[in-house]
Parts: sequence; structure tokens; C-alpha cells
Amino acid sequence: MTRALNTTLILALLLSNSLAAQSSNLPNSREAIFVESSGPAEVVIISTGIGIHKPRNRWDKPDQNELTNRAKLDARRAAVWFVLLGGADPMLTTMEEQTKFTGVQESFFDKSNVQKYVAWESDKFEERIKMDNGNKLRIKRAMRLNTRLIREDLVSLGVMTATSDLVKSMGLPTIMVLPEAPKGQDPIDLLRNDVTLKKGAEVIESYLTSRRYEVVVPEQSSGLNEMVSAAQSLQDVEDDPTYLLALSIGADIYMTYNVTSQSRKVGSTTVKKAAVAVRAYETTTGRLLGTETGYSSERPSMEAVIIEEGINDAVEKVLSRISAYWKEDLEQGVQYKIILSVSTDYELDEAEDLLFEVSDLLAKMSHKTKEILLTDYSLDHLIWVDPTNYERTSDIYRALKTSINRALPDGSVRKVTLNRKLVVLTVDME
Amino acid sequence: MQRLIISVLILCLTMGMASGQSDEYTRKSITFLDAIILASPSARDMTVRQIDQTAEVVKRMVQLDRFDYNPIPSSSSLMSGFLARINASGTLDLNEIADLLNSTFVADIIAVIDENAEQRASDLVDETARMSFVTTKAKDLGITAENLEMVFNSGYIYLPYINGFSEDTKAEEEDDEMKYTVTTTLSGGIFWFKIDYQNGQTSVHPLLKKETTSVGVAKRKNAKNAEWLAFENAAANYARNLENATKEIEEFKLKSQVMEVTGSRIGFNMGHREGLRIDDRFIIGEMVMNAYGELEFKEDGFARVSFIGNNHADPSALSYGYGVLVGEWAPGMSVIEYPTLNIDLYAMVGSLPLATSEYGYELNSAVAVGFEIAYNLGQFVNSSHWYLSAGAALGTVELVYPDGDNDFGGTAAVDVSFLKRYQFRRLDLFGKAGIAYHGISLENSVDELTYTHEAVGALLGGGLNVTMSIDLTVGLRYSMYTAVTDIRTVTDTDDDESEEYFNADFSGGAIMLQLIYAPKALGFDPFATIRSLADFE
Repeated sequence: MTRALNTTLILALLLSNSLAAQSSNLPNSREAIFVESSGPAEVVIISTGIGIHKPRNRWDKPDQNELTNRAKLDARRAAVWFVLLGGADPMLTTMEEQTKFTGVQESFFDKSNVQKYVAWESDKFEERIKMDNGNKLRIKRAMRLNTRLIREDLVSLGVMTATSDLVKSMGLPTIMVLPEAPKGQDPIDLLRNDVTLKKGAEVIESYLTSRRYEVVVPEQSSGLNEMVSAAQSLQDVEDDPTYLLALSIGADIYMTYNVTSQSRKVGSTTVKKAAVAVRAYETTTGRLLGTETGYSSERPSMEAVIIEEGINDAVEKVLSRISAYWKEDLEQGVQYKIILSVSTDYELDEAEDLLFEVSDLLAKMSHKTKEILLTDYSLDHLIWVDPTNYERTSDIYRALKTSINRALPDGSVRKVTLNRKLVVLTVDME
Repeated sequence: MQRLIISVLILCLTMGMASGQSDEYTRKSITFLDAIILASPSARDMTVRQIDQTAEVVKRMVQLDRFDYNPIPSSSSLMSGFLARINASGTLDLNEIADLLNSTFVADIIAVIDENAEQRASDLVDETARMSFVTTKAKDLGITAENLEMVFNSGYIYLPYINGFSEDTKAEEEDDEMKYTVTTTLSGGIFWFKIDYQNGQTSVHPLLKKETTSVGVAKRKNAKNAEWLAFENAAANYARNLENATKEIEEFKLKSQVMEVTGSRIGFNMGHREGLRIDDRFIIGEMVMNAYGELEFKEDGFARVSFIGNNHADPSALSYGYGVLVGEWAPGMSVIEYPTLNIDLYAMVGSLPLATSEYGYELNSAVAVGFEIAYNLGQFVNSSHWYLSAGAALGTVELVYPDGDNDFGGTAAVDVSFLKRYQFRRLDLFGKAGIAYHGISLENSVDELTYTHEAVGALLGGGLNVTMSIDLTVGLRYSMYTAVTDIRTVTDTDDDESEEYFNADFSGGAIMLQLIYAPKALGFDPFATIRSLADFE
């Protein structure tokens, strides 16, 4: 009896799964190729669609137009699926988002809903193959998808957090963009003097601003030396002016890029190809968040066109990794880098006590701390604080100053750098 | 006369357009320099006028609309060098000619391609690339190095040659006048070479050779006129066969995708720019994955062109075709040109109407066989299935006397008609109207007399055809003739002729089975032959 019941249950489950699969709006195909990011809000995808006909009997032949329409629809769904969940840099990056999306995926992949994301699709197929005795049709088709609209819909469905909410609560990351500078060269000078690099910065900044990131552009590198001398932990990286600049202006993330191009002749026409490497770093730690190299096609076009094409190819993927990092990081609070340097005029024990006290304070203030460096006279910590408790950097500064003054009444706290990311303090004996 | 005269050297440089589906036709661009190789002693006997005529007609026929052309300057100093070396070598070996081209003209050809490379390459920018940021935002042409290399890397050279030429003249006296019948035979073909371009280096490789033999016949009072007319016919037919041979080359076949399907009507993205003609045949098919996972092309019927889109003005304009053998068609399937001559050949068997009103006599025809040729007039009237046809039927005739004796002979019906077919899938109804000449020749063995009847009348006909394959159709026709004559010519053994009253009635209906074939090449041009043999002087 139990056996019969189990069998019945299994059969019922299989049947229900089968019925669900038949009516599912999810794409049959999950194949797609990213062609290019044609702008901050659109991508071109070549996706595969599979139209399926399930014959009821051996004489039941598919209607060819119907089969083609199914394959076309499946190609659209596969393209949207690819943007959302496929490839190296999907739009839905966190488990939470993916789980939430599962709840709405049927309606999201509905025929009319998917259609509205398609800004353009090719009249011709890249490939068309009949399979399974004519009951399956596989096509490949190029299409341009409006990723901004997809993102907005996901936000309205509650799958992704609305950018505006983030801005309200914690703010999008502030990003600094500078070209990679060879050792001994000032990246700001490079940016000023090299038209190619300036164009590169403009394109990346265009992407960032269109996504409503705050972009900061350093105007000068003065003041870095003071910051370096104040912070022992920075002395190892004083050769990396970009990192120091990002720290000094309080960027959450900094992006560097380099542009190389080469040319050759086809007949008498000079064709050029650009390769653009874009890297994104977490400012506080210098941790590499994402790196991607984008290539332009070889073209007889002006330099700016191939540079923009190369950057378009790279920056979209890097941005999606920045976005993933930021979402993850925000969950822990707002991150600050705290560097405290105590004057060697103090006895070692006094300095150590102070550093311990500050460490304890930092642990109390934040959800999470990470000790980067602790020496006899200095500390370098990363902290993630609740923005409702510490809305501004000065709140953190005030708390630290109070604590230090309590521990070392004869000490004088001086702020070397205070920005939205970095607090560099020195304690001198009065 | 030079041992080897080259009057036209045509250098064809062809560009391909990459596109999604690999079987998409890519527009070709041809640079040419006139030349024809005369490759045999008999060919070198041709006059300069004949050579020029051949060159002209070959150029007209082989330079298809599907190609673009860039002429090499005729003043090119390499021209004479090339001619001299061809003369010296006296070869028709593809590899040796390729070597000569490599060492002479290739650099010139590449220079000409180079002049127009960017403009031609812009034609190769596909639909997806035209939607990229480079074209939409940067307002660039969207050309890539790949497009440019395609331009350089798909050059073709063709060289027509003649390796056989003969003229046969027969003089006969007709009606107290000398008539000259000239038969000209022209043998030759066309060499195709492909230019490869890699890393700035170019080389010419032999592609293929197509050969044809063509015959022209003419009859005139003036021997020179007859010779020239026969030659013109032979040269025109030679060129037409080369035209079709060129279309047959895989790289040059028009190919595209079906964009629309409505019933048996299809729309596809080609048109005037590719030189489409009304009623051109296109195979429809698709790639199919077999049980072993291998891809194979499966033909699924064919369609003929009914409307030609003006894609000069609007590149997205579609042409339309009517399905004849209609399969399970859907958008995205392949459309592949099936080149044939613009001619249908008919072979018929059946009966011809024949009677007499002479009391006690019986005049009848038993079996007749016929041949007809129909020129498609579609491109002139811009409507499908309009033809000008000319045909002849031959049958047996028996005249039965009141006493039971009989004479036997033959009958002929020759007609010129306009014909219109109405196609509905594989069936087509047709109607025709024209004039017909009828003739009978009867031998009276007892009196050793020959009785001849001749009459001209109208012809109305119609019938039903069933298409069996892309180039073969069978059908049944019914023809109504109106000719009657009351006079017959009596010729005795001394060839003395006299006329007497005797009725022969050719009017009535004739039923014939017909087989229609669309040829890819013909040894002669039947219409031109009829015209040239008819004494219109």
C-alpha cells in the first residue's frame, strides 16, 4: 500500500513538473554571446533561440511560422537571461537577488515583457538549423537590449535595490578615474597632456555618471607627501600616486586604465586597433576589484572612436564587478580607513596603551574592523560603521579625539587628512 | 594578324560581405581590362571586327549586375607586356596563366581595388555592425579591417578565350537568286582566377574553367551579310552560355534568406542591385542536423521571382517570389539562385487537326510531334510568365480517295505566339494566341505527283502544366487553329507546278502532351536561327 502511494506521489510530482516545464516562460536555450556594450544603457547580444514542437502523434508536423516565432521568442528570452544571470558579469550578482528573481521569473520572461527590453533585433538570422526531425528549430540572432529598463523593472519588482534608496541611505561609491602612470610620473600630468588618455577618462566618466556614480577628478597631487609621512603604512605605497590620490580625495574606489593602440596597412588604408585595460581597486586597501581588457575592432577610424570602442568593451564588465562589491560592502556598513600615528616622544607603553584603547574604541564603533597594521607607534584599521550612528567622517573623528584625549591628556590630536573614506590622525606631545 | 590577339582582358575583382548566415551572397566588385585570348590557329583567323564583336558581347553578358566594376586603365603599360607573354607562351594552362597574371597585372588590380576599397567595404558592413556604437554614436562608417581585407581578398579575374572557329558557306539558287547559308561554329570558354591577399602580399590562383560551343546559322542573298549574321548569332549564344556558366559558379550564386512567408509567397532581400529578373528560379532550403549530428543542406522546393525590389534606392527593399514547389517554408530559410537560360524548351506529342470538305475524300493526320521555344518576356513587361514562343509540329498525313486509294505525306504547323502562364504552386494554367502557318505535302505514287497545301491562320490555345522539378514541367495543351485553304499546288516529276482547287481544312483543335525544360546552356540560339534563316531581305 505504502509502495503504491509512493509510486503515485512520484508520478504526480513528475507530471506536475512536466506540466510546469511545458508552460514555463524560461528560455529553452541559455546560449548567448556578448557582442558589445553600445552605450551605458544598451548591450548587443547574439543569442540562440530554440523553438520546440511537441508532436501529438507521428503525423503531427509543426507549423513553420509558429516554430520560427517560438525560436525568435526563445532567443529574446535567452538574451535577457544572459544579461540577468549569464556570462561573467551578470546583472543579478548576489544570491539574494537571484533568489528574489526566482519568484518573479515567470512573469519577467513573459512574451510581452521580454519584448519591451529589445531595442532592436536583426532581420536576418546568424544561424538557422532544423533538428530533431524538424520538431526543433535553433536560430541565432543579434539583438540590442535596453539594460537600463531591465534594471529599473528589477528594482520595481524588488529584486534589486533601487539606486535611489542606496543614495539616500549610504550613497553610491565615489570613484576616481586616472590613467596608469609609469613609475615616477604624475598621473594628473599624464591626463592633462595626453589627448588619448584624456579621451579614455572621459568615456569612463561618461559611463560612471550615466549610472549616477559620483566621479571625482583630482586636480593636484600636493599634500600627498604630508599624508605619506604621517602614515607609516602608506610609506610602502608612496610610489603609487594614484592610490594615494584616491585616498587623499576620499574615493571609495579608484579606476585606472591604460590605452595601447597599434596600426597596420590594409592596402593603402591605415587601420588601428586599441586595447584598453581597465582596473578597479578598493581605495582603502588597494584590493583589485576587477580588471578587464577591452579591444576595439581594427578600423580605419579616428583614434577617439577606437578608444571608446575598446573602453566600452571593458568598462561594462568592470562596473558590474564594482556594483557587486559595493552591494556586498554596504551590507557591513560604511567603510573607513583609520590611520593613527603617535609621536615617538611618548614612552612605548603610553603609545601602546593609546593604540589599544583606540583599537577597542574602533571595535565598539563599528560592525566590523580589520587590522591592517599595528606598530609600536601607529595603527591602520579598516572599520565598517553604521551610517545612522556616524553619519559623517567628522563624527568618527570626534569620537576618536575624545577617546585619545581621555587616554593621553597631554596629547594633541591633529588631523592630517579627513575625508569621506580616510581619517589620518597624528598625536603629538604638547 | 597576331598569333595571339587579345582585345579584351577583363580583370574581375570581387568583394564578399560577411554576414550572419554563411550562405549569404556577398556583393562582388569587378575591375576589368578588355581581352580575349585566341588560343588556336583557327581562332586567330577571326577578323578584328569579329574579335571586337565577341569581346563586346561577352563583356555585356558576363558583367552581371551582381558585381561592381572598376576598369583598369587601358593605357596600362603592363597590358602590352601581358599580351606579349601570353602570345609567347601560347598556353591555355590555368596555372601558367595564373603565373603570368601574378607577375603582371595583380599589382595594378590591387591598386584599382585600393582606390575604392573603403567605399566598397562600407557595403560590407552588416546589419548588426550598423547598429553598433561606432555607427550610431560615433557616426563612423563602421568599416573594419576585416571588411577591407574581404575587399582585397575576394578579387576575381576572368579571361574569355576562343579555341575553335569555323565558317561553312553553302550557296544555293532559289527563285533565280543565289542564297548563301553560313554556319559559324565558335568554341571557347572562360577562365576564372581568384586573387588572394594576405598581409599585403597578393597572389593569383586558378579557380575554374568553363567551356562552351556555339553555332550560328544565317541565310542571306549577300554572302558577307550571311557570314556576319551567323557570326553574331554564334557570338551572342557563346556569351549567353558564359553568362550562365558564370552564374553557376558557387561564389557568384545569389543567396539570401527568406524574410517573409505568406502562403506560397516569399519575400527576400535582393533586387535590382543584384540584377534579378522576373521568373528567375531560386531554390529554397535549410540546414538540417541529421541523426549523426552533421549539418546538411536540405532543399525544400523552389520559387520564381514575381516582383523585384528597388534596393538601389532602398537597401531594405524586398523582392517577392511565388512558390512553385512549395515546402514547409519559414523566414530565415535560404534562397539560392538556380541559374537557367531565359528560355523554355518544349517537346510535344499529339495530333494536329486536318480535314477536307471535298466530297468523298478524307484528309486526316495521325500523330504529330512538336518542338517549341519560349523566350521569357518577364523583364520587359515586368510581369511573370509572359513568353514569346515559336514552335513547329510535324505530323503524318493521309489522303483517302473515294475509291479507297490513299496518299501519304507529312504536315507541318509553325506558329509564333504570345503565351501567358498562371502559376498556382506546381500547377499552371496557360493561354496562348498567335498566328500559325500550316503546310501539307502528299505524295501520289501512282501519278508521281506531289500535292502541297499551305495556309496561315490564327491560333488560340491553352492548357494545364504540372511542375515536376525546378527545370522540368509536363502538361497538356489544346490548340485551336483557324486556317483553311481551297488551293493546292501540284508538282510533277519535272518540277512543273500548277494550282488546282482542293480544300484542306487545318482548323480545329489539337491536343498534345508537352514536356517543358529550362536549359542552362544551348548550342545555338533557336530564335536567332529562325530569324536568320527567314528571308527578310
